[in-house]
Parts: sequence; structure tokens; C-alpha cells
Amino acid sequence: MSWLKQLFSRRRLYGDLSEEIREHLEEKVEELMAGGMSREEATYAARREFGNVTLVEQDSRTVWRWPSIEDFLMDLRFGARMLRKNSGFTAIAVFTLALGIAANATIFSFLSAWILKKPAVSDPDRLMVVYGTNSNELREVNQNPVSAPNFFTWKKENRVFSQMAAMDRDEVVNLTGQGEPERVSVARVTANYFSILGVSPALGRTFAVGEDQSGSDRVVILSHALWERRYGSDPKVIGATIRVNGESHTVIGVMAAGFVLPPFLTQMWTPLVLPDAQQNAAARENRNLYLFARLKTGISAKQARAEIATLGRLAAEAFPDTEKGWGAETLPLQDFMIRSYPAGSAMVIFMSAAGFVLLIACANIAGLLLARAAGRGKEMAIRAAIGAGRGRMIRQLLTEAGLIALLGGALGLALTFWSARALQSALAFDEQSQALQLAVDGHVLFFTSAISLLAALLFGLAPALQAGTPNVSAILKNDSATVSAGRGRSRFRSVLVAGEVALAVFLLTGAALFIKAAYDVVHSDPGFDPQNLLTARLSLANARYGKATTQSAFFQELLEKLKVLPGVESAAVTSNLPAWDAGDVSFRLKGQENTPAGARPRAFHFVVSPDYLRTAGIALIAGRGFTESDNANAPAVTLICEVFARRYFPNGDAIGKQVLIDSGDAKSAQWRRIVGIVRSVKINPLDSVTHAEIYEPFLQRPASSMAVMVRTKSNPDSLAPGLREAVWALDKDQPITSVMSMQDQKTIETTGSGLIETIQAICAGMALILAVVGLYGLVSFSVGQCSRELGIRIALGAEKKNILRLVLREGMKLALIGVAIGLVGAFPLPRAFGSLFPGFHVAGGWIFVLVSALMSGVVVLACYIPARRAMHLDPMVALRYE
Amino acid sequence: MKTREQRDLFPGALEMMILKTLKRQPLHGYALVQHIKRTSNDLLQIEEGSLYPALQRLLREELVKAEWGISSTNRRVRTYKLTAKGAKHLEHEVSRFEKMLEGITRVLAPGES
Repeated sequence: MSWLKQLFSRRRLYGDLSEEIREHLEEKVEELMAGGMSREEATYAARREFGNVTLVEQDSRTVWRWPSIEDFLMDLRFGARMLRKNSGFTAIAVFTLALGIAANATIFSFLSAWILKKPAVSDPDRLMVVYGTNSNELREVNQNPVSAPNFFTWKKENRVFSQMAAMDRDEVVNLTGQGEPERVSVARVTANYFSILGVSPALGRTFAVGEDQSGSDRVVILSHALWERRYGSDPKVIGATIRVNGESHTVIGVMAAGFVLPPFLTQMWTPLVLPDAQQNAAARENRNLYLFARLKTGISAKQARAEIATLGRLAAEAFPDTEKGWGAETLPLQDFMIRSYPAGSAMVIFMSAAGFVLLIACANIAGLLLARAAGRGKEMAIRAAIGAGRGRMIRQLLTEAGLIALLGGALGLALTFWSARALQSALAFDEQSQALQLAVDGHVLFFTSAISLLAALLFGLAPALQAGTPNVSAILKNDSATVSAGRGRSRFRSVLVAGEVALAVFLLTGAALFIKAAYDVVHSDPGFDPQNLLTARLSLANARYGKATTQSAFFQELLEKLKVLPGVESAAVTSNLPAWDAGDVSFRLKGQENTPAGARPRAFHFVVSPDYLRTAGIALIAGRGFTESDNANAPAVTLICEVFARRYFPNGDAIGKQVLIDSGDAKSAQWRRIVGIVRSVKINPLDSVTHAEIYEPFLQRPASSMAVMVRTKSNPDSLAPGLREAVWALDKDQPITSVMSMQDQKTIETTGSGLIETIQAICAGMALILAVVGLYGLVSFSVGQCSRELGIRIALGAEKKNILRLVLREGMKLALIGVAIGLVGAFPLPRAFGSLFPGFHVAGGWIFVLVSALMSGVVVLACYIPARRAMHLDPMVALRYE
Repeated sequence: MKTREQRDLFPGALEMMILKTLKRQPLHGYALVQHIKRTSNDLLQIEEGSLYPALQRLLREELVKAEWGISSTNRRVRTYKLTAKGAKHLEHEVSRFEKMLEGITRVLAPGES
């Protein structure tokens, strides 16, 4: 640790040195005087022979220095002083960077909560999920459950998994006994499910072998959240009896708090009882199992994928009637979870918007530092002239840039903590998003520091390189001997301004186009009129309304009652509300060859009562809608939407053609004549892609669970009591759920999109502010550098008006060049976005015009204001300014 | 970092001469430089001051050690003394220098080129 001692004992060392040198000179002088010289002469001679005392002292001290660290500390001190001196510049740079970093780090903490976090099971990389794919899948996510027969076959025949478990899709059940009745989401799982996942319960036990057999399956495991909320974290709940759908179950365990596997939001697990391998068509059509499997040791996920694909193909070949068009895939649990989240593209959109902001921030700072480096040419030249090495100067500049990056990074991180918390509270709109535990974690820290370091390098390197090649004498001459900036420097400034304009135009146009396209998706016409609609959901109990006739009778009577309520315009029932994720069916067109059900085209499916089109406000394009006479005894009819008509009847001759809609029971599967074409409606509010939709009359396919829709003359909420009374007048025990206006439905569905929009609006605002501030700063700084030249021109008699015109013309020229370059770059962006995000219709030529005009305006303003100020300067002041 | 003595001497030469001188007897800075000048018959252009950075280097490397004391002329002086490590270093440097000198001499020898 001698260096440490040196570092501290240095003051004494230096004292010794000075004294020693003083003594040396003294001795020499005395000796010379003894030789006959006068004191004055002797002192002079002694000094001459000794050399430069200061330099010797300095050289001697250098020996003790620890050069890299000390130089660095010196650079740091100097850098800090420079930044403090230019506090405006520093504030803009740091703030700019902080915004860019915070935007990215916040989005990234979201991303890391969602993608980078490993699922809470043991060895998650070796846990695979097996699922089915359909070649005609309509939804974004093509991860379907598989049938029990396939589960049994694959479990037996695969050579890649050591064990396989099955989980039934989440189902909502009535939970009664102890407290209020409530509806909870339950998953049925095979007894080996928990052991395959490698999770253990927080309390009690998981399912034992044999508990997934009929008769011993009345046991239940609670999720930690449910246990906490409903049972007050009472450990005595183990062994208690609760009623699930009216049947007694014994609570045997409570899972740990962290055991959440989105997208499955299970609150309770019960054993899955699978009847022995049935191979009939109905069992094959009943696809409701997700399979979880452990890879055998030595088997890779890729091998498993190939094996499962083969097994899927074998099933399709063996059972073409039911399996054609279906395939099988397997993915590690984490990948499966990521892909099942439909917010995937939203995430990319977030990242891109934030990325644009960071790019603009970096460009800004680079521009500011470049401009300042140009202004510091003389300082650099002087340093070079008195012997600073090139490396030393580059290091100094990099230190300054690094200091800005560090401050920006720190402030950015603080902002991130704040905005991550804000985002977390904004995420509480649905359970899936709530399950994301947003925290600024290590990944985020890493990401943030990586960005800020990268940014420092990005904008620190350019001025350093420019300053690193100083032609000392030229710069010194340029700056002091001649009165205006030399041609080299002014050209550099021109390139800088034009380049910054081009970059700002490109990035801002990109950001604006992107955000507008994302906005358009959410706000595209839903195809129906959501105003003044009251909706509710009724599920008739099977015991009382088991038969189709009783079901249709109930709903018909209800509609009659609703129609006569004061304030009601019309009423209808529908199997699904528009923009509320309808179910889909496969179908066959008459005249086409008979393909197996799995390979047939699919369409979203609605079963609606006669007044549905009028009630929902869906326009009829051709033909007629359903009427009361389209009943069970009348010829089977159907309506299709315009997309359906265009896709399957490109010649425009859809009406009168026949369609067969596949459905569970063969009886209702009959050829239906197309009688009308209607507008397409949105299936998912966050989706602008319009799909094929097909409608069946309720009277020809009654069902027990329907949505009621009432169009009202005024505020729909005021009719909610009337709706309830009408239902209870028919059956006082009939529960009604989800009574709310269509607007409220939509709000629930699209709260997430509101958040997306807010974030994008913030990103757009930041991008705009940053671009404007950055460009203004750069241009006005550059013009300000010329104030000496302007002063001289005025002193020589130039008219102020002409000079102003000169400056503005120069600025305008650069702005136009920059805009032109930026537009050339931005021109292919709409097409690029369109191909990256299907469903994006990137339009808005006005964005190009607006951004160009705005940027040109900023440049002109940034020229005008400092130029005017220069006009009012006393020419003498400008001349003397040195 | 360019230092003074390097203009006239090759790097390490001054240090070697200091070590050699100190091997004979401990001296303070002034006496040291006078001794080197005298011994070299003033053939070497040494700035007196250049001694000090060299001494600091030797101190840092712990090849010499220094102590304040009173000289024979009753002056407060800092006397430098060779350490064991310094003696070893000197030996090594001298043999290296002799080899180098021999090489240079051979190249410069007349009639050989």
C-alpha cells in the first residue's frame, strides 16, 4: 500500500523537495561567492546552472503522481467547472438525456417484468407447454388447447418428455359457503401437474396420485391471493369444506404467493378427471387441455418441437375428419407465456416510440456538444500549442461528455423510479396486467446505464475526434487574426445545422407517423354505434330452461317487455357483444369441395334476434336482415358481413348462396341461405383488422346464455332498473350480470389502450419538445458565434436590414436542405411500419408537411432572434470581443 | 513525459551514475551533482536541477533512501544512501549498459561497415 502512503504523505514530500532545492542553490551561491563573485552574480550563475526551478520541482513531483487517476480527477474537476459555467447548456443536455433514458427505462421495466422474469416453477427452461395450432386461426395468438384423446396418445407415444400433465382451460365457477357467494376462476389439473411444475404449496399439500379419479376429486387448492382476500389468510382453512358450483370440496392446500402463470389467472385448482381414452369425434372436437411436460435429460427443446410436430401430423393423418388443419407445437413455458400475451405488438410500439425519443435526445446532445466544440476550437488550439497531447484532449472532452451522461443517467433513473410507480398504478386495469410486478430491477439498472454510457460515447466521440486533429496555427490564426470565421469552420457549422434539421425531420416524422397509426387502430370505426346502448348478460339455468323452445320463449318474452319500456327504442339479444371477442366457427360454402372441419375457413360467429341490426346500429349493405318469421320452421338463413362477402364471393353474388356453419350438434348443421350483407364490426377494440363475420337468427339456434342489448333514447344507465324488473317479472330467481352501458363495456375493454395512448402522447410530446429545443439551441448558438462578423459588417456600413436578410437566407437555405434530406429518409417509413405491423394503415401526408414546416420555422426563429440581438449590439463591442 | 536529462543522456544514465556515486559514499544533492560533474571532467552537460526528478524516481523505486542531517559545512542537508535493492539494481544496470556499449562500439568501429 505504499502508493496509498505516498498519496497522503505527498505534502511533506513536496515540502522536503522545495527545501532541498533551496539549500542546493544556497550552497552553490556560497561556493561561488567564496570564489570571488558578488551575491547577485552568484545567484544568477547558480540559477543558470541549476535550470528552471519551477520545472524541476514540477518534474520531481510528477514522479510521485499517479497519472491516470490524477489526470482523470483533474479532468473531472475541470469538466465540472466547464459545465457549471455553461449551466444553461448543461441543464438542457442533462434534462434531455434524462428524459430519453427515463422513457426507455420505464418501458424496459415493463418489458422486463413481462419477458425477462422467469416463471415461478423449478427449472423453467426445461418445462414445456404443448398446444394446438390451427392453420385458419383468426386471432393474433395461435395457441389452442388440445383434446383429451391427443393428450393420451402423445403422452404414451412421445420419446422426449419424462412426464406430462394436463390443465383444463380456466373456468368460472360459483364459490359459496363461508362469506358472500362469488365467481372465481378455477383450473382443473391432473394430479401430477404440481409435481411436474416443481412447485410446492405454502400451506397443506398438492394433489395426491389418484385424486384425479372420479369419486376422490372433491378437493381444492386455493391461490394465495384468494386465500388472503376471502379467507383472511387463515391457516385453519386447510381441511375446511367449501362449495364449488354447489358441490362440497375440501380445501387441501394454498399455493405460494408468487405462483402466477399469466395468461392463466387461476384462483383455485381442482383435480381434472379425464375419462379413459375415448377416440370418438366428439372427444376429439373437445379441445380444452393445455399440456405441461418436462423434457427428458439430454433432450433439447428443439428435439421436443420436432417430435410434437410429428405427433400432431400423425394425428391429422389418422383422423382427418376432426384433425385436418390442426397441428401441434411445444414451447418452453416462458416463451409460451410471452406469446400468449396479445399486448406483444403494443410492447414493440412502446419501445419504438421511446426509442425515437432517445435517438432525438442523443442527436440533440451531439449537436450541442459539436457546436460547442466548434466554438472551443481556440481553447483546444491553445492547449495543443502549450503541449497538451491529443489523447489528453480527447480524454478531457470524453470526461465532459461522460459527466453529462452520468448526471443525465442519474436523473433519468430517478425519473424512472417515479414513472415506473405511476405506470404500475395505471396498469391496474385488468388482472393480467396487474399480475405484472413492475419494479426497477437489476435489468433496468443495467439497461439504463448501458444507454447512458452509449449515449456518452455517441455524443462524446464526435467532438473529441474533431478536436483531436487540431491544426494549431491555422485555428489560432483563424480565430484571432481574421475577423470572421474561416471557411472551414462555417462550412462545418452549416453541415451541422442541416444535418440536425434532417435528423429532426426524420425522427419526428417517424415518431408522429408511428403514434398516429397506433392511435388510428384504437379509434377506427367499430362498425356499430356504441352510444345509448344498455347491455347485460343472462345465463338461463339448465334445469329450468334446458329445452331450446323454453330458451327462445324466455328471451322473446323478455324482448317484448323491454320494447314497451318508456325510453326504449329497440331491444335485441345476441350471443356476443360486438367488440367483445366473439367466438368463431368453421364453415363450408355450397359448391366447394368437402374439406374436413379443421381445414375449413373460419369466421366470427353471432347468434342474434331480429332487431339486432337496428339496436346495435349496424348498417345493412344489401339484402335484408332477420325477421320474426325466420323461425325454427322457416328455411334456414344467415347474414354475412362485407369482409366475408368480399373474401368468399369476390364476384359480388353472395346473396342467395348457401353456407353450412359447423357446430357441436349435427341437427342444427344445415345449409343456410345468405339473405343479407351487413357492415363488419370490430371483434377486438384494439384491433383494426376487420374479420369475416357470420350471423344466425336466434329463433333458429336458441341458446341459454345471451347478451341483452337495449337501445335507449337517453342515458342508458337510467334504464338499468327497468331491465332488471323486466327480467325478474319473468323469473324472480334469474341472475343478471354485467348490467352496463356499451360505453362502459368499451371503457373496460380499452382502458389499456388509454394507457398506451397516454404513454404515446407523452413520448410524442417529449420528442417534439426535445427536437425543438435541440434545434433552436444549436442554430442560435451557431448564429451567436457569428455576432462578431455581423458587428464588423455593420461597422463597415452594411445595412441592418440586409444583414438580417442575409442571416435568414442562410438559415432558410440550410433548413430547406435539411428538410429535403430528412424527407427523403422518412419517405419509406409508412411502408416500413406497415410491413412491420400488419393492421397498421400508416397514413398522414400532412405529418410530413407539418413536421417540415415546424422544423423550418424553428430554424428561422433561431436565426432571427440572435441575429436581431447582434443587430442591436454596439459594433465596437462586437469588434473588441476577443 | 520528456525530461531534461534525456536530451543529453540516454534514459537511465543519470540514475545509474547517481547510484554508482552513492555506492561509494552517501551524499546530499549538491555534493552528488558536483561529484558527477567533476568525475566526468565536465564532459557531460548536466543541468544541476535535473538531478532532483531522478532522485525522486529512485526514492519512489526505493533504490535509495534519504535522511535529513547536518553537513560538514554545517548546513542542513538531505543525504541519500544506497539501499540493498539499489545496489542490486546498479549491478544489473551496469552490466546491461556495458553490453549495450560494447554493441554500439562494435558497430561504430572503423573498417567494419
